[in-house]
Amino acid sequence: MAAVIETQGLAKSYGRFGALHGLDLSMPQGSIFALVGASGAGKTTAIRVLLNILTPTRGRASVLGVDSRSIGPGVLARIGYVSESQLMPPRLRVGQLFDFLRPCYRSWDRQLEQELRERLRLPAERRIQALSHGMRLKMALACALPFHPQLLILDEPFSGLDALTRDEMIAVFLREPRETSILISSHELDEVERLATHVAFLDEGRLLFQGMLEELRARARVQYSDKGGTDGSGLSLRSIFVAMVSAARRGQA
Amino acid sequence: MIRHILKKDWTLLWPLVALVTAIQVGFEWSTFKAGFFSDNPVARELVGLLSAAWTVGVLAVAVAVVHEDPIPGAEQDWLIRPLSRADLLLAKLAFVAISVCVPMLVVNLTHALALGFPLGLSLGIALYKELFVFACLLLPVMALAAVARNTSELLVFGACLVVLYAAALSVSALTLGSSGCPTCDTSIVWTQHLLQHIGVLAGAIVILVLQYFRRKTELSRAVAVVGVLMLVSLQLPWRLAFAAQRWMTGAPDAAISASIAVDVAMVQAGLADPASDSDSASHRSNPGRGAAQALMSGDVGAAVESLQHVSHPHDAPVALRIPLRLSGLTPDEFLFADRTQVSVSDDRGRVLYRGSSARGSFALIPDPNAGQEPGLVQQPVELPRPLYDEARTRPLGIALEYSLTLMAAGTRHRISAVDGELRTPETGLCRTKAMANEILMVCKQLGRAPVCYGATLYAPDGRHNPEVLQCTPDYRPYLPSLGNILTVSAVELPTHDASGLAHYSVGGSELSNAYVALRTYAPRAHFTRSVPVFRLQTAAPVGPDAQR
Repeated sequence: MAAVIETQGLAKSYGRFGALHGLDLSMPQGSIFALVGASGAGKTTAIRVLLNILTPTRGRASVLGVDSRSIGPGVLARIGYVSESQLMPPRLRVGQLFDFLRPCYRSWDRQLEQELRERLRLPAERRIQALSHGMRLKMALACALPFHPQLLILDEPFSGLDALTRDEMIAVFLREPRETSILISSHELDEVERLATHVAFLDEGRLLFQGMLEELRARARVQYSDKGGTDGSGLSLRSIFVAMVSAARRGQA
Repeated sequence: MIRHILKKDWTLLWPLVALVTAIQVGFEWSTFKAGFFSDNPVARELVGLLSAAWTVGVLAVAVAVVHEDPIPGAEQDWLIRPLSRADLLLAKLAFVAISVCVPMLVVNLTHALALGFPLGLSLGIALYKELFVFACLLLPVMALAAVARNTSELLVFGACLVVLYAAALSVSALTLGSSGCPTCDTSIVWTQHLLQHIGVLAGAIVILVLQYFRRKTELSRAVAVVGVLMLVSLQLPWRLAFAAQRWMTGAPDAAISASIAVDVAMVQAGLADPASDSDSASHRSNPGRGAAQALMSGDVGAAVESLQHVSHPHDAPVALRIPLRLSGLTPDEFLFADRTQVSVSDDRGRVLYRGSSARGSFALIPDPNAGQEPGLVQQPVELPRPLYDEARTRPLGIALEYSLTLMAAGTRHRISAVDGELRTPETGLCRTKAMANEILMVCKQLGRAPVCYGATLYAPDGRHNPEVLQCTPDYRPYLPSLGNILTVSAVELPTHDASGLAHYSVGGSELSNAYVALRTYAPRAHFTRSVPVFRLQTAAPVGPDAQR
């Protein structure tokens, strides 16, 4: 499968602090790719570098075949983005934001927009600053899907959400056609395990593993089955992640 | 996309725009209603209040529209939308132009037309003024707004720039004195201002490009800081500024016959008594107050000098009056001394001191009542105290180098002394009013007003009071004020002295039939003259003859 996102030796530093160290990532097209790591691992930084919001210190990245440093309106028209920290214009009303975004995308589907607004129960007359955290994430999702993006990037989309809202959102973006590649960054490993086809572990800006979820489980069976007295088939993503991170940190120490 | 971004910003900011427009309309109405003589007390008060409110308002609009889509930061929604950066910037610029400049143009134009100025001229001046305001005020403010995430951050950064500017200005004044700003307080300071405007505009464009196309916030802030320092440190040398003024005015031979020479015989009579110089006495009596007054008016150099009087009172400069003879001028001409350089040398020709003779530009007008030969002018010159003391014991030579402007009168006009009205292309619209002790004449002109007015009050039988020469020594081409396109000038012609010391031939009951003869003076040529070295004590001229 062709890679929809590819990075080579990607690094990002803030002064002396290195947020990313030589990331070599490859996200296959059509996959649901989970970027997993603890808080401060560098997930959001990696995503912002990919979207040309931040400039990398070293290395290169390409998104949808375009160098990330050259990403402009043409590529952004094919990318949907949802983030827990996304700042939408606070004083605009919900309906007004849709009115503003609609002409920005040539492939905007008004019918899909209407469906999403009804399904997610978004109040048209309420100002964005008056929306709750969950409503704002739903709003961001509703703004990221109507133009049928080729790549959907979800940065901590479940953070602070109740189970009902979480399931609602998952149901919505899983409706996207298989041609849509989905990158989810999260530390909610239980949710990710349900959804992802591929996974990458980040710890302190370093890539510990990337590959298909089944590959990861198979590797974990081999690596950790003799330690717990089990055959490893019951290992969850959470426990695999914790074991891998601990091993990596012991190795560094 | 520009239209959509504009529409989005309008949706959010129309209440602020409406408020600022209402303030602008109110301000213009108040100015109109205040009239020529500020008779309407309500309108007069409103003008003061609304002027400040309008300034704050237009700056708020410029800042608010930029901060609807702030540049610094990584969380803004617009960063992940397919919006062209060029479209975003153009939309912001268009918003400010439409919401601030267009209403201003309409109200300014309406005011000018209400006063009877022609449409073509009014529209041209109004358009020019809006372009000036946009380029020299709004664009720089938008650039500063673009380096901040929000208004709080902008206020902090702006305050830091102001403090930096004040500190740089103070250091320059303390270390260099008046030589740190060769054109300050002179009639050609506009050349320095123009250079600064161009610098600020260039810096604003650089910052806007850096921010909108590269999002290099730290670099943009550094550009702003460097720009502020350059505002203080980059000063036009006097010779260059004066040469530029000469080139603009043209007519290089118009002053070829004008000359200045020292009246040697009068110099032989001795040095001027420093105690008779009221300015020096005032400095010595209360230099701290002088420093405070100078600082309040923004004159850091004068404040430093006054403080030096406090710390070293015995070193306070001594003011002398050098008698000069002017010749080669017609009755309709006079000279403006834009700058006078004084150099003092010993009898071996070694230069002991070089400095400016006095602060600011001033007219060299012979005193008609001095009872001496015509053309005599007393030139004030300040010398450091040690030099003055030295001159009493050994011969020292003084040379003067003048940068001069030949002011020539234009056509003459007449206006009734009481409730008169005059409309000419030169003066604009002028009106007169009888006050308690004077005739007040106020003129409103589109664009640039005359540099000097000469006004004489005449009785019907030909008697007249002395001519009043009212000059604003500033040769700038039209650089508009921010608020409106009319330049206001006022001339007071005294008719009565309440102290009883002065007596005026024309006044009292005959004012209703009196008239004011008005003429304007314009710069005709700019040139330099050197007065050769002459000894203070013996007054025998030394060195070469007068140079042209």
